[in-house]
Amino acid sequence: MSHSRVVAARYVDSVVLMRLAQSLARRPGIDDAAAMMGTDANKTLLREGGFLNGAAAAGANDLIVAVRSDSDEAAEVALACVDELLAAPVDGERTRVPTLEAAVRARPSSNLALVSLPGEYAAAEARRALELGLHVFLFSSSVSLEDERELKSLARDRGLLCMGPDCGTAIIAGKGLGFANAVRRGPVGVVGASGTGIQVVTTLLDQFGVGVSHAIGCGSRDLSSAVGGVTALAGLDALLRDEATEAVVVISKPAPVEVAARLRARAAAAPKPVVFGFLGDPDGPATLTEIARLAVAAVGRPTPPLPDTGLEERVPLAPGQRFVRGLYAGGTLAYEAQLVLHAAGLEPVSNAPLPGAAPLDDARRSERHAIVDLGSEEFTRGRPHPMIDARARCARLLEEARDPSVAVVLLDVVLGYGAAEDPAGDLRAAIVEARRTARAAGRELVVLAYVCGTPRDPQGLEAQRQVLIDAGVVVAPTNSAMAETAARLVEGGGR
Amino acid sequence: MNEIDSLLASGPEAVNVGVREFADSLAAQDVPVIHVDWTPPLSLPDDVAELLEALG
Repeated sequence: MSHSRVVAARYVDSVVLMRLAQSLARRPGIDDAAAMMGTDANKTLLREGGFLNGAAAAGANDLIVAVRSDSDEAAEVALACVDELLAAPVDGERTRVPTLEAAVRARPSSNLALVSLPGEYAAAEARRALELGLHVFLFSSSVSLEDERELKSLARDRGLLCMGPDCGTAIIAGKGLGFANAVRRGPVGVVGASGTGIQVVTTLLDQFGVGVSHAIGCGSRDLSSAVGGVTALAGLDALLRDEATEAVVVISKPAPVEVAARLRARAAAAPKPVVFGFLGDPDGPATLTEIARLAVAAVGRPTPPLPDTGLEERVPLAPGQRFVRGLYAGGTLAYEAQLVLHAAGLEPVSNAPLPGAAPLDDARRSERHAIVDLGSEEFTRGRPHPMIDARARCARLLEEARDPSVAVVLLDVVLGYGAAEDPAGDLRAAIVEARRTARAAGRELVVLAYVCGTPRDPQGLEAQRQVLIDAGVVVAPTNSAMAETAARLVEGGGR
Repeated sequence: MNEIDSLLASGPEAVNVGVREFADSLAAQDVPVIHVDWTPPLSLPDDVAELLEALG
């Protein structure tokens, strides 16, 4: 039975909503909990989850909190705690103001707005920021193509950068915006349409001892024909002028011919090398690792070899265990894994498939060699992203463990600013349980993981790897090495 | 120096609108940041909104 409470005219951001729901779900007698703003889309989700009882009249600016419990009393006690949980103190030192205009008045030297509002409000706020003369980092997705074109055109006219919409990552002068890793500063400049693509390449550059001058995110649609690479071109031009940048690397899925041609024309006339990392382009680098290595070579440095995956001994797979299942938080990592499996002849299916490849019929149910992007919109609409909330991925991992046809599960664990405090720890119990479930059924489930991070990330690269190793995971040095290992395992029957 | 070059040269001084954790991450990196306590705009019935618009 679900019980709900509506807190009228109370806006709460998505991370606080997630924490609130998690905190309520842990209370005695509570089976599950949800906390969402009362938009129509969210109310549909709550209704589907059986959480909307008594809250159907809530409006978009009202907070809905609901719990599922067999005990009316436990539900009542939990819902009574909401005010207390919402009132928890937050960084009292920080300057807080009601509007963007007030922020600029309070600090006129402000030069960038980081906007992560729900999609329906994000474009208006980004426009306001640009009109105030601020560069914009627009994290929000669900911004219309029309709005994106208008925002980027406004930015171009004003000589400003509009990173996004749907921009997950940027590093400006060594400072990470959104989901970004603590990467050493160095001579490689990055322009990228893919957030996790930027994270992987910049962390590899860090590992290779080279480092990054700036990484300018463009948003996932920037290099489409409709947007025309406005931000990528502005970013590339700026990095070509930047004295700290010796070479530039562009990271994206293959761009339409005319957009790629515009970028290549800039590069051809440039005084420094430009590496094009169009991942999936048959004439380009095959993996993110290869892109990072080309960038290192472009600044004239040697690339040290990567350590082996460490899975040397034979794994005793049962006869029916023949499939790879990738449960990804990072979209580009899921994409790269598909490229690797495809190159190995395995024909993966996915909810975010390679061009021309078969889609997964139902994103919520794996089949064959399935690579699932759990950060895609169908999983994150009204719910937190798997980089900050592991619950959906843990549940999916346990499902895969019950499937006798699964041999290998692939996991990406993304560290850095913006990510969960302990992403490996959040997965640990589910990994242990999944392997135990498979073993009880007479199977050995191989769990491979790739950790994207640096030793300076708040979570600590080695500590996170060790958590996974202790849970029985084989930690691969790169995502592509992980996918190659998986392909080899299923093709060789565990060898 | 143009605005983008100036951003790259001096680094970000940020205004955060939305997820508060992003402001915390910036502060942890010693980036000056102001957090906007944003609230959704009032949703008015269309005729009232049009009237307000007309009144300027």
